[in-house]
This record gives sequence, structure tokens and C-alpha cells, in this order.
Amino acid sequence: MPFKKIILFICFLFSYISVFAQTQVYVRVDKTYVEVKEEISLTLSVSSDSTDIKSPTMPSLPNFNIYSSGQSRNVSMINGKVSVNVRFNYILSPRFAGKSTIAPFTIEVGNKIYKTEPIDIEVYRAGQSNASSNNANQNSAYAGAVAYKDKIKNTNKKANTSSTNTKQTNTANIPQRQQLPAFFMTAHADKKEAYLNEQIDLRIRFYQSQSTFGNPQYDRPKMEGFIFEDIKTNQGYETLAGVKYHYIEFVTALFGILPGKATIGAAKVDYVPSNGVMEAFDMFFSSSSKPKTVDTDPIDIIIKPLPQEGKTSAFSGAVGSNFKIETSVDKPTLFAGDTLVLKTVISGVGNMRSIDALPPLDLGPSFRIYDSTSSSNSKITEGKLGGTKEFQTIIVPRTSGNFSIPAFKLQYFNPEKNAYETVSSQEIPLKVLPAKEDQQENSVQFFSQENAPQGKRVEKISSDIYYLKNEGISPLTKTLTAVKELGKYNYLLFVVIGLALLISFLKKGEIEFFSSQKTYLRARRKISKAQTMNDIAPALQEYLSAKQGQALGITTVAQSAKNLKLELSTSTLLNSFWQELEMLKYAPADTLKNTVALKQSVQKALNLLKQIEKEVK
Amino acid sequence: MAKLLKKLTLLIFVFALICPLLFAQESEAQKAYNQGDYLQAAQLYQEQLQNTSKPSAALYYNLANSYYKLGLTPKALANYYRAWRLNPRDKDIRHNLTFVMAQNVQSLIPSDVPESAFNLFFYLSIIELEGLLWLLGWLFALVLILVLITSNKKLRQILILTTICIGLVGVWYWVRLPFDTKPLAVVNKTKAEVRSGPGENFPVNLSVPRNHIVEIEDRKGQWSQILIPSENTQGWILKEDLEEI
Repeated sequence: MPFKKIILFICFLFSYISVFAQTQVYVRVDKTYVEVKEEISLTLSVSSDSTDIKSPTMPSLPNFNIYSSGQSRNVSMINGKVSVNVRFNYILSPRFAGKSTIAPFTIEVGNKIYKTEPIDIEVYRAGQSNASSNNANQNSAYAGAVAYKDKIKNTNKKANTSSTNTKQTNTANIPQRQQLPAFFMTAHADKKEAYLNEQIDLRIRFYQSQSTFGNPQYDRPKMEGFIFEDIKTNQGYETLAGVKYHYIEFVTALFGILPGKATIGAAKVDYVPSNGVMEAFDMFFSSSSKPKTVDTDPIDIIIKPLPQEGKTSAFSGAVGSNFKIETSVDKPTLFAGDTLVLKTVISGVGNMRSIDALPPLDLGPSFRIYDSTSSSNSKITEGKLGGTKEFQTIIVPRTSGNFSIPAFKLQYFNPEKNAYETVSSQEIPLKVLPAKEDQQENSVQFFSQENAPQGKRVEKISSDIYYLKNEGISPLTKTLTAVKELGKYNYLLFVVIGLALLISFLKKGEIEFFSSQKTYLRARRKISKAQTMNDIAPALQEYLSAKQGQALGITTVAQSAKNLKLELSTSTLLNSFWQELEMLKYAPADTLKNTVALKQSVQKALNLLKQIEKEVK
Repeated sequence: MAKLLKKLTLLIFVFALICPLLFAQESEAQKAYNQGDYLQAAQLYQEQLQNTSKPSAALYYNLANSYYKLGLTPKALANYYRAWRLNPRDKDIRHNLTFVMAQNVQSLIPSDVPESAFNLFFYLSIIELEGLLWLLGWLFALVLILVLITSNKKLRQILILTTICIGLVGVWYWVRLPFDTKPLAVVNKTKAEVRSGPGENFPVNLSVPRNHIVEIEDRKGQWSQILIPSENTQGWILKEDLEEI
């Protein structure tokens, strides 16, 4: 019976767990009162024991520009229970001043639909900020989710700062205390002062010497006055004051965008501490383990403007080191009026986003230059953000001649050397040939500089597409299309070829038959057209020769009957007819042309021919 | 005889009735275009496209012109491309296609391919190539039969020549086919985001400018996997950000 009780207990436990199987969905923004074009960080968090978490459906947000900044997913097994924590991060940039609402997000978790609550955002124009609104910014906005079909464990209260919560200084130094708390955080910036667009490394660490229920939730600090890129996440163990701590470190590269004081806000971690078996049971039976929070103090950084000394017009806005600039063209020789693509690639260590545009390119009136398009690529090398920025410029030469694209000069500020440095690309020679004939015909006329007529020059003002076309199809297209459109009937071709080959293969003699048939028909034709008696004999002789495959003399024709194995009657007929023909050779010319006799002989010859053909076949 | 004449007259009458109607519609579209009512022109050309089972290159071209004038460059580019696939020798189509592509830093002819080789390779449309292949096939069959019957030496030479031609055209067709059948699309959104996977939850790896021609490699729900040949990069983009060719 105890066994039954255990089973019952397990069933009860599982049913209890399933009843309390919880999914939490909430959306949070870092501020609700923002300036136009300021960035709002929005996080949609889903915690569930279901691993089936679909991508959220975003509401229509016409008042914001939205960028996804990735997602993070943590799956953990605690006490045999799977817990999944997914965070979808977005950056929102308001487009208009006034009150806007972020409509609810919907997300499907384990075949159930969840919907977050809407969040109101007040957007002001620069300089409209007031004290009351600042208060709104003090606390990060937080909207709980409304679960339609599931219970939600609401944790949207700012966690109490209990004895285990400890604010730390903004240095990397661990507080020198006799006894360190079980959970604490540190934040450290590698520079207190930095130049505009100079990289500052921010390292935020969360230490824990005890386990937690679920995964601790990290909230990135507000970084006003900076643009930032995540560099990496480290984790490991460290022994502090004799206690072994596990830590997670978030490394972020920051770049100051305005001179003056910029502040890195407080980073925060929400967690639920777990101290032992009893607390694990507390999870199911009116928990005594409440969510707690640790955070860091804000860090002030002084952003210095770039020095004016040494700054030239070639300064691109780039700050960093090892910058290079390279240019290339898609073709070194082209015709006037053709399109040339000039590719300029800037690479180096620094924030590529700070490079706005290329130095102006002046190629004189012989070229038309269109606006450049650009794309950038970020790369992290040894903890430093760098990458490439590529510009593509369309250039159309208007006249022929030998030209060159001058070298581009790029000046950047190197904070390590505290000086401006200049790099330049190579000059590119360019050969422009006179415009092609068809281009000249089409009203676009270019003149080479050398051959340009004196006085008024024809100058291309702009280009446009050609006018509408009439439905005209060339005979070539018509013919080939017609054949193609025979469609399945074309496959008869294979049948025809196959049949022809099959017949010739199976009946090899068929060819000889045709040949034989041809000989017979030719002999018949000749005999029928005979003008005199003497015309009949050669035709018959030729026929018999062909049949035997050898040339026969006059004397040997008589032997043909034997060779061809003709029947006796036919053989007799052939011999007697041949003798008749032999005799006629010596007859007077009138006799030979006697139409009645000729007709009779022709008929006789034709009958004989028919008979021989029949027997030989 | 009288009956036949009657039928013929009726046929001519019906043809005479239909023909002006067909041409009237075209001239309506042309009229709208000439008057600067490009939207109306585009709608009329679109209707003609929907009503025909064999759309012509000229129809795609005219539709593309209307779209271009409306500022709908991705649609224009897609239709110019369709027109060019149907009639690659047409100078007007080639001009407008390269013109619009050049405005968007693209070139019809890859930079590493000589223009003459490109023109030769794309001298015939894929339909014409297929037609030529069938035509040569029929010629081959005819000559083969004649050779079997007559054993003529000249015919034998013609048969060998035809076989070589079939082989060459066959290789041409086989190499060309992927160029004409691979699904292409034009990006119709300014700086369309390309993600590493088919979902909003995947990070954005790069952005593609509007009017860029890309190859479609796969489709999944609302997402298309694209290849950007110029960058040799793959990624996933929302279908609605593409105008398929």
C-alpha cells in the first residue's frame, strides 16, 4: 500500500505543478517620456515552462521607427523542471511629438495566445522637457501581460532591496568587506574621460554564490548620450573573501556622441534566490522566496570634443586607429555615356557609423556624379569594434579622353596618439572612349574634348527611359516561337527518328529494295520513252546488270536468266526477246521506227520487266 | 460554294469587329501615357496582361514604363526584366533596363564578363532557343530519313552538320536555362532588413537598398531566403519587401 501512496503523491505533485504551470509575458520600455528621434529600448520577456515559444507579432506602430536588436534565450533545468526565458529586444525611435501608444504585442506560447498591455509614450520636441516628466523617466516603464488562458505570476513590482541586495560602486573593485553578500553587481568603465566617438569599454558583472530559481534577468543600463554595441558575454568563477562566486560579465562598447557629461545608468538584475530544499518547496506552497534585485550605481563619463588643431576638411568624423581607404572602379576603360561604379572602402578600428559621407569628389564638367550609397559592416577584433564602410558612387563620363579619379584623403582622429592622422587612396587612371554609335543616334550626343566643335556645344542635360513600344515581333522570334509552341507535338520528332532508325535496322534490305525499285522504275521509264527499237535493248541490259550487281556484255545478257534463277517460261521469253532485239540491230531504220511494232516491243519489254522484277524480288 | 463564301464573310466580319477593339485598348493605354496619366496607363496595360495567355515583351515594357513614370521603380525594374527575358535583343528594352539598373548601382552585364560574350549568350530568349532546338531536331529527322532513303553524300554531310548544331544549341540551352528560370526579385523597400533566419527574432545582418535585384533561394511562410550576388551574401527577408520577377 505504501507504493500506492507514493504513486498518488507523485500524481498529486504533477497535477499541482501542471495547475501552476505558469507563463509570464510582459513588455517593458526603458522610458516613457522621450524626445523625438531619441531611442526607446523595448523588451518583450517571456518566461515559461513550455519550450514552444513563437516569435511575437508586433502591433502596427506608425508613430515609431522600429529596429529589432535581437533576442536572447535561456533554457534551464531546475529541480527537474524546464524553464525557458526568452527576451525579444527592440529599439523604437518616435517619429512625431505628442502622446503615442505602443499597442499590445501578441505571442503564442505552447498553443496559447498572450497579449501584453499597451504602453503610453509621451514624445516631446527638443527643449520641451520638464521636471514632472523627468520623474516618469526615473523608473523604467513596465507593463504586465494579460494572459488569456493562463495564470500569470505578476512580478511587476520593483523588488525590495533586502539584505542580500547590494549596490556597488562603479569601479571594478570588489567591495572590501569582511563578508560579501550572496548576490551583487559591479560596473566598470575603462575610461572616465573619452573623446567624441572614442570607444569606452563598459564591463558589468553579476556575482552569485548561491543558486537561483529560474534565470536571473539582466536589464541593460540606460546609456544616454552614447551609442553602443555589445562586444561579448563572459562567465566564470572567482573566489572573493574566501567564498566561491559565479559571475556573468557583459562587455559593451560605448561611443559618446555629444560633448559634455554622459551617464551610464544603473544596470539591474532580477533574481529569485534559492537557499535550500525548503525554499524549493516554497515555490509551490506560498513562496517565501520573493524576487529580488541588485543594481549598480550610475557612472558619469566626460565626453571631450575633438581638438581643432590639425583638423582639416578631409576629416571624416572617424575616431580610432589603423584606418585605411581604398578605391576601385568596375572598369578602367569605358565609353562616354556609360556608367562607372566607383567603390570606396574605408576600414579600421573605430565606430564606422560615425563616418557619414565621403569627401566631395570633383571630376570637372566632363563627368556627372550621382549621390553615393553606403553600407557598413561591423567586426569585433580583440575587444575593439571596427569594420568597413563601403560607398558606391555612380559616375557617367560625358566626354572622351584620358582622365583620372584623384586619390581620396581621409583624416581621422587617433585618441591613442591624441592626434589627427591622414590616409589616402590611390589615384585611378580612366580611359573614356567616344560614345558608341547607338548612343549618338539616340539623341544623346557627346563630344570628345579634342574634337569638340567651336561655339555652341550639344550638352546632355538629363537621361530618361525610351518611349513606349508597339507590338512588333521579328520573323526569327515568330518562327522559333511557333516551333516551340507546337508543344507536345514536337515530341513526335523522337517517334519519327525512332521509327526511321528502327525500320532501317530491322529491314536492312529495305534500302536495297528502294535502290532495286529505283532501277526497275528507271528501266521502265527508259523503255516507255524508247524512240526506236534499239533504245529498248540498252535499258534492258542496264536493268539486268543492276540486278546482278555486275556489268553485262551483249553476249552475257542471255545468261542472266540462269543467274537470276528465273522461271523457265520467263527465261525462255527473255532469251527469245533478246534475240529479237539483237536481230533488229541490223534492220532498216524504217522498221526500227515502225510505231506499231515499236509499241508491241515496248509492251513486251515492259511485261517481261515486270515478270523478272516479280521473280527476282 | 455559296455556304463557304457565307462562312468566310462571317469570319471576316467578326475579325473586323474584334480587331479594332483590341487595338483600341492599346491605344487607350498609350493615350493615357501620352497625357501623363501613368496610373491609368499602368492599369490598362495590367488588364491586357491579365487577359492574355502569352504576354509579349512589348506589353511588359510598356507597363514598366508606366510604373517608372509613377515612381514605382521596383515594379518597373521587374517588368523591364521580364520584357528583356522575352526579347533580349530589343534595344529599347535593354536601354531602359540598364538605365534603371544603373540608377541603382547595378549593371546588367557582370563586370568580369565581356559585353560581346554577354550579348552573344543572351542573343536569343530561352523560348527562341527552345524553338531553335526543336527546329534543328525536325531538320535532323528529315535529313536522316532522306539519308536512309537516298544515301546521298551531301545529305550525309548536312546530317553531320545538323547533329553538331543540335549539340551546340543543346549545350547553349542547358547553360542558359538556369539564368532564365532562377527566381529573381527586386527589393521594394528602402533599406530592407535581411535577417539570419526566417523571423523577426533573428538578428538583422545587413540591409539591402531599394531596387536591388536579388535571387530567391527558398521560401518559408512570410519569408524568402535571398542571395545577393554582388555581395555573395545570403539572408532572409520579408516577402512583402520583394517584387518577384
